[in-house]
Amino acid sequence: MHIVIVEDEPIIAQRLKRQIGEILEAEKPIIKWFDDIEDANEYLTQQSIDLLMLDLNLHGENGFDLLKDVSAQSFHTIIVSAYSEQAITAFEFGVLDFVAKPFQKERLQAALTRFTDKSSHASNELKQLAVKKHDGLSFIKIADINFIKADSHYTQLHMNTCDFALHDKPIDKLAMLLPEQFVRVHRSYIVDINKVIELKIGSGASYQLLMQDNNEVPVSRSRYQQIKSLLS
Amino acid sequence: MKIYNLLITFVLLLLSTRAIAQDTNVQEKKYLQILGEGARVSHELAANCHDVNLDDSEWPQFNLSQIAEYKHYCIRIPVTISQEHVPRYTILRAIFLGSAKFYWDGKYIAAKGKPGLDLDSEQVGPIELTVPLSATELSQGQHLLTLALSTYHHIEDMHAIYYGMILTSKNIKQGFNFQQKIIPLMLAGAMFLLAVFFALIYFLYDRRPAFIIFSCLCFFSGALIGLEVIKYFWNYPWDFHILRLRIIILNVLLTGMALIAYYLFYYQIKRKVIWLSFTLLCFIALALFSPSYDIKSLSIFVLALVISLLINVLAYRKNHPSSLIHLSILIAGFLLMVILPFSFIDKWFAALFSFIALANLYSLMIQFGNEKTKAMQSLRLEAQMLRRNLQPHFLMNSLTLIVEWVETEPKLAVKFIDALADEFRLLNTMSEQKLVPWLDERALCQKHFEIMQYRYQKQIQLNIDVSQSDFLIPPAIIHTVIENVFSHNRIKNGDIFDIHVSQNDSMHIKITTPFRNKNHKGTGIGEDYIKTRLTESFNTHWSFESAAKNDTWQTDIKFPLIKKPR
Repeated sequence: MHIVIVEDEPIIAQRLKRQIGEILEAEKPIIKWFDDIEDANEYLTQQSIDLLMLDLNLHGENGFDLLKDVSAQSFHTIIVSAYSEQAITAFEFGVLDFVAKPFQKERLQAALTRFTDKSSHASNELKQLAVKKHDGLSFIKIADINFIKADSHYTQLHMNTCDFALHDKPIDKLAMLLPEQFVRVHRSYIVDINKVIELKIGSGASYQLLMQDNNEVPVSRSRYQQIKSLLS
Repeated sequence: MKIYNLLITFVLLLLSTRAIAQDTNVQEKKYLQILGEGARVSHELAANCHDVNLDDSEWPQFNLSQIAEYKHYCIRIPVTISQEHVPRYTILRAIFLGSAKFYWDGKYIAAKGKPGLDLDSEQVGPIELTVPLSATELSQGQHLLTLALSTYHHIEDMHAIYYGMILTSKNIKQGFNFQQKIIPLMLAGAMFLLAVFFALIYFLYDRRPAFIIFSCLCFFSGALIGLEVIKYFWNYPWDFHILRLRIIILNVLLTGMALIAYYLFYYQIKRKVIWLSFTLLCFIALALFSPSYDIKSLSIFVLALVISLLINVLAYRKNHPSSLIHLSILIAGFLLMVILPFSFIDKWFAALFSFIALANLYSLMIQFGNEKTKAMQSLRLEAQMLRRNLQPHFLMNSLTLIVEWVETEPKLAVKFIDALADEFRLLNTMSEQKLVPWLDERALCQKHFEIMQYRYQKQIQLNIDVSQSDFLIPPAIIHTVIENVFSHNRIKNGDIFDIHVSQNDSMHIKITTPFRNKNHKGTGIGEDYIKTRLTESFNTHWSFESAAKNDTWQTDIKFPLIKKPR
């Protein structure tokens, strides 16, 4: 397990390092500390990591810049910041959790549990997701998403309007950020269960979900029973 | 815009003076006959002076305007009534500075004091005499007015002491008086009110010399108008007239001085004593050597205006905000002086003053507004200064530090809390003041530096090089500079913060700090705070420069030296 801390105050970084080490003792994590966005960015483009602990104000620079810069966010991010009013923005950037300073070990533990427990859903009410476009960031409302399809390291967010946007998190990571109504129906598909019109049974024991945008989403055989019970 | 200003002032002033000057055009419709033609005089004590049958053809002809001081006269004036019916209530009206007994056709009709042959035997009467004459007395044909007249109670040689003698119908006098009285009275009232108003402003609100001087100016000009109109209400003894003229001249002189002093203090012109003594000398010279009282007043007025104009031009060139409006009023006043007839000079002057008073009130209101804004700004600055240490970044990070140390190194936590408390205390006491002693500011900077050293755990150095520490500085401005460095730059071991203070007539503080932020935007809330504080205390007399220099950030602050009171 590879964890990076970006924090400009050494004592706080030391506290994070110490407490993460204690909480994830069994995982034997490698923890790397940077006090500057530039250095961290350089490291993140070269190394693949599992978790980023990010402060939002580093010598007057905005921590979010790092999330904008790092190309494929194959890792999860937990924000540790004094600016609790930034929490909403943070979740829009697809972060896993927001820990406000000053923090206690218990709070940090709760955040890290969400990281380690793959089946957990975001406890927060995530309203929208940040999507990178050629001209900057744009935001997609969660309520507008019909289903999500895996696209190699990215994901396609299919919306009511029949078009889709690319999100730069793999489907496994994204699944952890989404609210409860988003259900994994297939290795490569997540649907908003409230937007399913009907469950169709095709030839050769294949199953499809007809969505509100008239697209059909495959359901894997292993998950059929679960989906059927959810819909009935 | 500027020309409009001048035009509007000019038109308003013209209208107001026109309104005042209206009384000139009173039509004398009824009856008027000027007496004095063919008068003959004898300086002898003629017992038969009033005898109708006396043959005075040997007596010299006499022009009444030549009546002089310290003399006794017997004057015989033939009066020809050409109209068949002179209106009823026709009166004889006589105004001159002398005592006299009046006889009509040899018959005694009235006395104005008691004429005599010397100072002791002469008794002073009123300046003006009005005697009603009956229809019989004013019958068509030849009549004779004879006067025993003496002028011993004068205190100085006047050039003219005879003002006129007329037969007139009464109504003219009444109509004439009403219009002439009411407007000057209103003006005088307004002036006294303004005098009280500005005196109250001075004593209760703001002890600025310009206010009390303006109060005096209003009082003097009110008194001037009062002295001018007193003649309509009080038929004073003729020997008081000269005293009155002297008081008027004194008043004119005081008014002129007050006007100039007002502008000197209002614009805070240097070398006031020189200006004032020069003006006073000129005024005294004019008062002593001008030929007549009218010319004395006029010349003093004009000189006072010229000097005021000069001061206003100086102020205008220094861009004093309200100099333009005052300048407009004065220039308009000058133009009016040329346009209006000479005799309205006193009213014109009063009108001019009312406009200066208006301009003054206007700038006072502007000042009130500014002060209100300033007071609000001070509150804002105070709040801003206190809030800075309550910023989440500062406060929450510090608290995180404390939490960490409480768990790991409690003693360090205690020290850190102490340092934070010290900084808060200093900020709190300093925030309410506009200027604080340098030593307080220095202590604040050192405390903040100490806290940042705890937080960043770096070997960094703060050097303060100052020769004299007895000056005042707006609170927390150097503190803000240091704070900005920490929040915008990555601090590394061995970094040095240099503060160099040099002091001569003004203060120059040079702050050299580390600079590692390539995309620094420059101005921020911190810089605004510093500039607002400097403006609050030094108006425009300060400079603030902040720029990257080589690998450092250099901040230069200059402001006037204000010594710390002992």
